[in-house]
Amino acid sequence: MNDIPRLAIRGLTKTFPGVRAISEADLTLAPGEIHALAGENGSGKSTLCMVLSGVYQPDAGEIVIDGVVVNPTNPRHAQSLGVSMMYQESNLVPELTVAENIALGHETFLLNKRGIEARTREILNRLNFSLDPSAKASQLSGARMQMAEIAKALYGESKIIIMDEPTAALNSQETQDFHKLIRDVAATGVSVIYITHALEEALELADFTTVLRDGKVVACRPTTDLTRENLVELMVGSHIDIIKRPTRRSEIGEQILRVENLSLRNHLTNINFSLSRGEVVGLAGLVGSGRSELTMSICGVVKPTTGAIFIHGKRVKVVSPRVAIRHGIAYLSENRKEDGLFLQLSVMHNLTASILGPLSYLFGLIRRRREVKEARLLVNSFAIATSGLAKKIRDLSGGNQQKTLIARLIATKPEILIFDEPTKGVDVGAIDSIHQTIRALALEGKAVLVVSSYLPEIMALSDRVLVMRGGQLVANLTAENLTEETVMEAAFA
Amino acid sequence: MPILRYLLRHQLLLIVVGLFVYFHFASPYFSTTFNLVTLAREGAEFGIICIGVTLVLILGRLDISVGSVMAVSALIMIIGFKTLQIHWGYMVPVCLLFGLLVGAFNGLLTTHLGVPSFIATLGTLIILRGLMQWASSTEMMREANSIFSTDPGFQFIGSGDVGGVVPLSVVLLALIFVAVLLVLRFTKIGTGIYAFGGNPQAAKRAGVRVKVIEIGIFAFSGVCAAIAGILLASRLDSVTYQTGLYLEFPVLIAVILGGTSTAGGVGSIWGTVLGISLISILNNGMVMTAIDRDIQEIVVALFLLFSLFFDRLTHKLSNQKKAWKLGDIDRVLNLFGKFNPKGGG
Repeated sequence: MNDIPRLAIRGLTKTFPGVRAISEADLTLAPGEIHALAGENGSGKSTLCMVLSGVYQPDAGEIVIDGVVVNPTNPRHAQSLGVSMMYQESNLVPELTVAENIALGHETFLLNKRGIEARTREILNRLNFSLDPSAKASQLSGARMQMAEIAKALYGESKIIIMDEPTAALNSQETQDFHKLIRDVAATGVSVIYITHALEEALELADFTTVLRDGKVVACRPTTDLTRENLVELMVGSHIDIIKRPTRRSEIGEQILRVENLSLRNHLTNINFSLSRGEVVGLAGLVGSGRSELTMSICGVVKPTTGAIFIHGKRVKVVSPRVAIRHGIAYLSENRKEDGLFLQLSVMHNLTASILGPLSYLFGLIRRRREVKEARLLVNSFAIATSGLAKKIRDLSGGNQQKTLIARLIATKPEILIFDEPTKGVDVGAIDSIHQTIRALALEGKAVLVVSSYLPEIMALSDRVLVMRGGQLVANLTAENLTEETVMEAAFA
Repeated sequence: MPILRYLLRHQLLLIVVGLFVYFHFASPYFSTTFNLVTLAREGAEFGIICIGVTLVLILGRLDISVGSVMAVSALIMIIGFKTLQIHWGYMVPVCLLFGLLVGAFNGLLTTHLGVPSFIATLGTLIILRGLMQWASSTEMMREANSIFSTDPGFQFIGSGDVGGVVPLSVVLLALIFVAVLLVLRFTKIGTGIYAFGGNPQAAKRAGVRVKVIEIGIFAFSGVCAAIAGILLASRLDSVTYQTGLYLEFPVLIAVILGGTSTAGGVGSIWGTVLGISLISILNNGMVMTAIDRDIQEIVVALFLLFSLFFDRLTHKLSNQKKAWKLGDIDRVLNLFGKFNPKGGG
């Protein structure tokens, strides 16, 4: 290895409105080095790679390739600098063939179809992938699509290949082959940045490992100095205790909701669990593990393929959100603006949207005075900071918008409440008040399910934690074996 | 399911042949040489527009301004040649340039200002239609429409036959068809068009020049419409505010019937040629069998609805796993109730 690093990142910062995704990150990569990036959901790994590959432009900091300061302005530019990226989500064009997909962006003006196919075949052979170059991408299975993505990253003359969870869809044999292949590629002097959630994979494969937390680099060490335990520790970190774990726990009563063998094609397999009166159950798991699909299946947003839902022991068919509300299920979506609020309407209209039935005379004529009274009551009891009921909801802060949505749910007098990321994009003060509301609901004898990607939140709120991985419930952790580490272990496998 | 698509396309061929046979027996005037040449001449004019629009649809965009671009192109030709007495040879490039600029403008609106293509081209359509309305009340236009042109060169554009047999419009259609076929099949632009329509994000990340392609395709669609306008101006020797009105509907019907998906990424100009034949035969045949004009419009409209339904159906069958990528309309039209969540979580 020579003295000039293949890639050096210095003081890289990228801010999105309201969020600092990466903050003064440094990273050095030698030619032929395999470098793992580890971190929790939202720690900034993907953003860092998107900056490198030219999808985003950094706010500050510099990227140096082979001693030259570069600033990739778009993916095409990054490619010409020798940086290619394998994205987490599929980047194949369904209507094109495997070969066309692999060569996309590298063609000569007049297509040299035979040349493209030959080169594709050569790469596929080198990788030992059994993939037909002339098959259409839309006909490939998940693992085969991933193979095509890998081959695509290798097609150009890359110096640096960034891989965002490349083995997520491969089985263990395929993963082993793939690791061997990455080592072969690295041996030719190509550097690899490797994002993975499978910690063993990082430990086995990488020369160096960088750990990111909340957008900052917290460690960069030779992988030989790391163990699984201190990797988890570095990723979780010692979170500042803004969320106090409440000491007062509510009485857990009889079972209200039971879900049996719930499946949703391509997303969920055989989910079984129950919720009881007075308990808050946390639902943890990585992004993409099927948490939102599960909550949506229960609330009638999504129609599950198979499975049964029982409320108070009686089987119910929740075919739409309307039916869910009638059965006493309230659902807070993860996307406040898209799926929750009527942004153009007033605070009052947003509050009373789900209870207009009880607030109306016959034929749906709304009893305006009662609506105002009800809305005022909700604003006061949830401490929603607004200058008036007529104020447009979009002018409120994120925290107050979220409180408004929660107030709307509670106004329907539900027995079961399902919160998907209840404090996402919410200011600290409101987080606390939302947490208190959730605990208070449990004390009143409601059953609450909370989905959160923020582990400390799950830990602080939950009496019990369910963990999902790859569309399955893999753990049900009760108070005695509930720690951040056990949750992480289950989520990462 | 390629077999199904194959059958569907051949089903379309069967419908085209069936319609032809039907009209042959239904009207003694339909399969006369004169009528068939007229049918081909007018059908090719229409077809040239359809080819441009096919490319726009493969990109996953929509161009509903073509009818008005054709009309204004014809207007420019008529006024320039007849009222202002400029040689038609100079007016041809002017018309083409006009189509190019309007198309590029549509493209700029969608790529750089993020205006949905439907809205952008609707805006262009309304502006150009307004222009037509205004122009039709001017002295210039009245003057142009009152003169009969006698220039044989000008008459040849719309009514002449190359070698005394094939209408010029058919020759042009064939040339454009071959050129587009070659570009789609053998250049990276072709791959880029299908890639962008099938998965815009992937195309962009793979380094395809997506904006250049998109502006270029809109400009090409504009040029195609302008060519049709030139042919029309010469053939009819006049232009009114109604010229090309609602033409975008039969164009879309032809393209969609030809197997091009409004969702982007799917389509071929071979299919479009069949769609063009179908619509041309249908229109001409209904005139020849003296079907009421209003009923004709209803029949064509029914074909549009039928073709949209067909589009969804074939798209669904061929692309079941990916149906959720297609956006809201598809979710509404998702007749079989298959759900796909919004990702995440």
